Amino acid sequence: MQHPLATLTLANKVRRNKMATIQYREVIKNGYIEAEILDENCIFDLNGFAQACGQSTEWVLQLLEYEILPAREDIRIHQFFADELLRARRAYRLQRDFEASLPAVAMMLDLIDEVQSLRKKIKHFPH
Amino acid sequence: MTKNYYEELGIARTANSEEIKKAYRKLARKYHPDVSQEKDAESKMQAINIAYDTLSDPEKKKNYDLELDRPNSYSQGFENTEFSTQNNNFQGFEDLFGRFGKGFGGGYSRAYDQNHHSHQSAYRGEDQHASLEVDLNVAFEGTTQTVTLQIPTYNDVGLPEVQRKTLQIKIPKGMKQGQQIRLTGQGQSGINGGEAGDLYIEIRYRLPEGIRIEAADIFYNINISPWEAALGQDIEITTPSGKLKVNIPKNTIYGKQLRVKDKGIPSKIPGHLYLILNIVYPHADTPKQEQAYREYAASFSNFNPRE
Repeated sequence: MQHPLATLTLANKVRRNKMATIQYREVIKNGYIEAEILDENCIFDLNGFAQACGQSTEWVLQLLEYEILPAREDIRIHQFFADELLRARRAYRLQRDFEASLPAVAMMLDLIDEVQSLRKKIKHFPH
Repeated sequence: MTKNYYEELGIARTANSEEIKKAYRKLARKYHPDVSQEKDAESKMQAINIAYDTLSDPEKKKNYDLELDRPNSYSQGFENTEFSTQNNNFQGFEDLFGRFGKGFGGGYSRAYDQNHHSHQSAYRGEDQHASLEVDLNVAFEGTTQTVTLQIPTYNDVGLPEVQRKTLQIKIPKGMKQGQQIRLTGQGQSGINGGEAGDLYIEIRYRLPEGIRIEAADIFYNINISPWEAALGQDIEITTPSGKLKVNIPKNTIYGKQLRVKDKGIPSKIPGHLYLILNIVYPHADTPKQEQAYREYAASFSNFNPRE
């Protein structure tokens, strides 16, 4: 992947917040950045997956325990795919925003999957 | 006019902590982007999270109330802050303000504390996640796009800082619906010389009515006339992958799917294009058209659709 030289525009803005002074810094990267496509060949190990989720490895293992991520054969128990990252992040958001337990998150995700599938299908029928 | 946090949650200044929590839960159910169909669900949920983050914390709430009472003495916090975008389709970071003030996502709170205890350990910046909505033609042509995003981080001396980062990103063709790209080192900055985190961007296609995508397969509604359906005919159609000639088989029924091989999203393994045939019946508006329907009925006198 090519990384362009970074040009920092130091047009710092300072906005005052009660708790802390938050500084805003403008960072403009010149030149196009090549993106790495995460396809089915992109596999994370447990640590890499937890890091990408912004969570602990214990939290990730709980996703397996509660079958929020699909059950897997022993041989790849610590291998994770890119699409599982989206599901894990969604689980995290639901857990955080609804203060939900992981069993509840598992059920919410199943229902969301079903609703999304139905919503997609009704797109093809005139209302 | 920008709403204050109380207005954002639809509560009075006198609301107690239970009422604040109740209002948040109600709005979260309505606008949570993982379940909501509201058009602006994602930005609305971010605004709700920002408001709740402050009002659910007694200390932050106290300071915020002071600020509201003395508007000329303080700025208005973050409520005017928007997740900026040059293309108006870049979804903000899901965690940016919801966890602001709690250590920028957990990992850095530890780093921040360590920093203040003169331990100079290096910490890798956290990976960041965002989504980008693009037109369907990007799946076939790719594109380059300039996006501006905001990343919470700490500066060199350990103070909170928000980077407004403008990046020019190449999005290759062939991305599946919901597929991600990774921009190495474009996430949160590291601390004490630690390496920067990565930026993950989920690509979502903006779809017109009558089209859905599942991975690399495109499902596309095609309207056909009753006589095209009954008699069969070659028709020319414009699809997301270009113009195509398609043979409508004789006696096609409503909802029949025709698969056009490899004409879906051109990913490494190309998806297919599925044409979903929708038979459209013309209205009988003139005497001549009414007569045509009568003759039609007469020709099928034994046909009873309710049998």
